[in-house]
Order: sequence, then C-alpha cells, then structure tokens
Amino acid sequence: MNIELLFAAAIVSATPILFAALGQLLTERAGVLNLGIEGTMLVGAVCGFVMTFALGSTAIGLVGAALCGAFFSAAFAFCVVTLRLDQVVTGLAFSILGSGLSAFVGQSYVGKALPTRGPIGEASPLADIPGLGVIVFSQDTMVFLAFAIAGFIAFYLHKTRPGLILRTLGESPETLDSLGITVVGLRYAYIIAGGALIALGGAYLSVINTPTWVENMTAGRGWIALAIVIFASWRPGWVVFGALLFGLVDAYRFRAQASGQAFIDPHFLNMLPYATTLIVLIVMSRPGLRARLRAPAALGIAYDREKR
Amino acid sequence: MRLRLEPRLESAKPLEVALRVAAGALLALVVGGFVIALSGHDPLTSYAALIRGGFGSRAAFEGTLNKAVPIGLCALGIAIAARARLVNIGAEGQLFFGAFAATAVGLALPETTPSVIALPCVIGAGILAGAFWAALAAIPKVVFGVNEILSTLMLNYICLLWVGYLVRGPWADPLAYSFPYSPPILDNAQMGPLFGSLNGGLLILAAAALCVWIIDYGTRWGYELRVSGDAPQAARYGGISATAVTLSALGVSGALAGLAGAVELSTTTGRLQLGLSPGYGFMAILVAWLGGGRALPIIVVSILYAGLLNGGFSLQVSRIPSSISTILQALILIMVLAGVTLGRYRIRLVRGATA
Repeated sequence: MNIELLFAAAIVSATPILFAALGQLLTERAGVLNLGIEGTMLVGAVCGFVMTFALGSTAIGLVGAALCGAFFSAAFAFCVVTLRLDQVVTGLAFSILGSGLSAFVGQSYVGKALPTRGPIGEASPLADIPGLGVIVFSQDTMVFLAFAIAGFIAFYLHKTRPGLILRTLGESPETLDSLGITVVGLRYAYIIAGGALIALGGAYLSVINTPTWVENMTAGRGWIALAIVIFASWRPGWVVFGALLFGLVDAYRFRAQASGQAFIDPHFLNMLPYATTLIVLIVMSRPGLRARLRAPAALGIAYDREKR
Repeated sequence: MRLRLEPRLESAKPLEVALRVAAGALLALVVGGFVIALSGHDPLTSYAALIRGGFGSRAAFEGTLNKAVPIGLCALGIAIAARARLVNIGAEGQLFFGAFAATAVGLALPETTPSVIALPCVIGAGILAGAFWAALAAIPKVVFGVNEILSTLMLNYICLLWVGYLVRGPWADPLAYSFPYSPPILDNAQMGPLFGSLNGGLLILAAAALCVWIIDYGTRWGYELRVSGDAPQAARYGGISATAVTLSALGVSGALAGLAGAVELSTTTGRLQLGLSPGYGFMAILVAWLGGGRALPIIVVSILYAGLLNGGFSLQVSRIPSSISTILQALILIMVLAGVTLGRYRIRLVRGATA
C-alpha cells in the first residue's frame, strides 16, 4: 500500500466531514444542537449536484449548495429559536425531512454523472515535491478551503470580540441579552452559517469526490461529524484532527478492501469514530476535565427572555 | 416589527389541542402538496395513492398494522424513558441488538424444539438484549453523567455495523445468493400470520400498551419515574434513587425496542438482515412525541405513520416518488409540534421594538 497515496486519500475523505463538523461546531457554540446535520448534508449534496449539472459550473453548484443549506437551516432556526420547539426532536425531523427532500429532488438525477469531473484547481508545480507534493499540493481547492475555514474559525473563536460573543452565546445567553446584544438574531446567524458549511460538506461528496448523486449518499457522515465535534470537545483544532483521523480510517478501509489485505474487518474500523466518541464522552465526564472540556452550558436550551 | 411569544396562563382545553393538531397536520399536507406540485405531479392524485396504499384495501391495512407494531413498541419505550426526562434516541440500535440476540438463539436451538419453548426463548433473548444495549448508555449516565442523547445515538451506528458484519461475514447465508442475510431461524420460532396477513405482533403491541398504561396509573415505579422527571429535587428528598430510575427507565425502554426487533424477526423476516428495519426506531421518536407520550395516542399515531410508510411503497407503482411519504412524516411532526407549542403561547407582533 502506497503511504503517500493513502494520506492523500485520507485528506479527501476528511474534507466533507470537516466542513460538516465545522458547521456543527459554530451551531453548537451558539447553544443550538442541530441533529438535522445528516439531512442538511444531503440537501447540500443534491442541490450542489443538480445545480452543477444544470449550469455546468462547479463553483456555482457549490455556492448554490451552501445557499440551499442556509435556507434549510433557516427553517430549522425558525422552529427552534423563534418557536422554541424541542431541539432534539425537531433536529431529527429535519434529518428525516432532508433525506426525503433530497431523494425527491434527486430522483431524476440518479445514475447521471457530471460532465466535468471535480477538482477545481489544476496540478501546481508544488505537486512535484516528494511526499508532501502528492499528499498536500495535488488536492483540489475545496480541501484547502476547508482547512482554511478551520483555521479562521479557531482564530475567530479565541482571538476576536465576535468570537468571544459567540462563546458566551452558548454559555450564558442571558448575559449577552443584558448587555443589549440580540441573542435570537445571533443564533439565527450562526445556525444559518453552520448550515451552509454542513451543506458544502454534502456538496463536496456529490460534486467533487464522486461526481454523481446517489440516494442517502452521505451514509452517516453527518453523524460522524457530530461525533467528531464532541470528540473535539468543541475546539476547532481537534475537529481537524478528528476529521483527519476518520479520513485515514476511511481511506485505509477502502484500500485494504480493494487489495484484500485487511487485518481488521472494515465494519469494526467503521465503528471507531462512534466508539471513540463514547469513550471521549466518558473521559470528559471526569470532574477535573469536565470543567475544561464540557459542552457549552446553554447547548440545547431554547432562549426564553421571560425566564431570565 | 418582530414576533413575540407570551406564555398563556390558562392551560389549553383538549378540544383546542385537537384542533391545533388537526390544523398542523393540514398545514403539513398543504406544504407537502406544494412540494409535489412543484415537481409536476398532482398533489391530490398523490395523496389518494398514498392513502390507498396505506389504508385502501384489506391487504394494505393489514400491512400497515403489521408495520405499526415495531414503531409502536419502540415509541412506548421512548415514552417510558421520557417520563423520567431521559431522551432515548437509540431505539434503532436496541431494536437491531434485540433482533441479533433473537437470531443467535433462533439459530442455536435444535430444529425440533417445540414452539412453546422456542418462541419464548427467541422473544426473551430480544428483550434482554435490547435492555443490555440501552444499559450501555444508562450505566455511563449514572456513573459518569454522560449525556444519554449522544451515547444512545452513537450506539445505534455501532450496532448497525455489528449486524452488517454478521450478515456479510460469519452469519452470511450461503444459500442467500450473496444477499446480506443470515440463515433463517428455526421454523418453530417463527410466528405465522394470525388472521389474514395480520401477525401476532399486534397482540404484543396491545399488551405492551396496556402495561405502559398500568405502569402510569397504577404503580409506584410509574409514579417515581414522573417525580424524578418533573421534580428531581423533590425526588431526591423523597428518597427516590436517581440511579435506579435512570437504569430501570432506560432498561425498560431498550427492552421494548429489543422486543420490537425480536417480534419483527419472528413474524416478518425470519432471518437477520439490515432491511429488518427501515428506520422504525427513528420514526418511533416522532411517534412518541406526537402521541404525547401516552399509550393509546401512541398506538393511533403509530398506525397513521405506518400507513404513511406503507403507502409510500405503493406510490412507486404510480411513478410518484416514494420519498413524498418521508417528507410528509417529517412535515407532520414539525407542523403539529409547532401548532401545539403555539397553543401554549400567545403570539404578538411587537411593532418597532428593539430587541
């Protein structure tokens, strides 16, 4: 097995999950648990594919997917922020809605392939560098975008004033309210921005990775992204690490299966992100760590001004 | 101008709640119809086909009732956990783990085991295994305080992969033409149809609903669940052990889902396969909520949802996308949830107010 190619494939596998996990990170930091993540990814995947197919431009397809994801999660935001519906149940309903809508929209596109194949960026001279060249510099633009967004979110969250406000939004929205900052508006903004990122993750699959549309093609990646956010205890750097780890497992599984030399059955490898999350949840619950690594305090609780 | 929700002081009357539920469902149908029309199909024809497929004939209705069994059983379990404010979204995994254990017993028993022994063994294994799978979330919850929403969710996928491994690997049936199926369990552990194509699962569902009703209104345990859910402080002073409540509520919740898996195995598929459940455990979460957590409404709602599911399959025959039924399932939940919530609030438009 070629190690360089394995790592290159790992980064490709990690990218859709990274987009989705970063979107979920923003949403959860704002204090909202969006269990509609799998559905939002599917909406992004189908919209990205249909628009790229119809308009012939990958860039427009990806932007369109992000917009559709934003619109879909705006509806979710209306339900959980304005109407204050239960976030868990509403989120699951949106997951089911997203899978139904995407299957509905994509029905006449099953089995069609995009005329132009994915990678936006062309091979740069840097790709000739041994090792790094194949692993890093032969990737498409979206891969770089995902990692750049991760870096930006890390900076934004910990070094800027809006980032501080975002962290407070998930910890103690009533504090912000008393400072005259609109909790509802900000939650809308982050749910919508998060939804756009999650949808981009889905679109990466259907437009760039495997330029086709298959029903339920995200195959649980949304839930893995959710698991990774918890695994990372809501820190962007660890989200990148978690996504890469999963990407590596995914790439290894694929290659081992193809070459028939798997040491462990791929089903068990696929359990890793879920099992790791469970273990991390338990480890994080230790009293000392809990204070540092716990979930945003207001996560999952609708903000009700009258109860302040 | 912005929307403001003000809590109502008086609680809504049952008739008012029913009206709101109906209005929500109607709105869901209108929105769904809009989606159908956008895709160039006739909404009324599609709905007619959906209803015909779910309830239109005796065979369709019997098929619907059979599908209502696993949904209803899982939903009853989710409702029991919800009494103690525990969110179990792991019914799908518990169902599959129940089916796995039931298959293990069903494959191990000698072919000559009489039905009176084989059937209880298989069903019992399902119940125990479902409870065990739920305990994997309940124990970290009581020992470490791990959030059960996340742990039950993760356990779903672990179990689905486990079953996938079994049916493609060690339990793959060589006679199944490379379909991911296990060999069939012994004949005597399979419940044949009881009446027409109706199977015995419906009786089990009715019995389970009755048990839940009795637990609610006639037992100390049911009372303890509610107190620890509604007033954890009072429960602590009253000497109700939170540990015992969490373990028992999630355990029973998982046991019901495991029962659903074993019943489905014994009545419908006869062998372990990934198609054993097209997401019954997830659907049950919606059903438990729409049914308000009470036994009788849960049964009614699970029959309606099973009808939507069953009707969805028959839509394909008339070349209408079956995903319409999935869209409707979600829309109905969201709209009804919104309608009932709005019943608890009064909406006011506040003009020109700043935040």
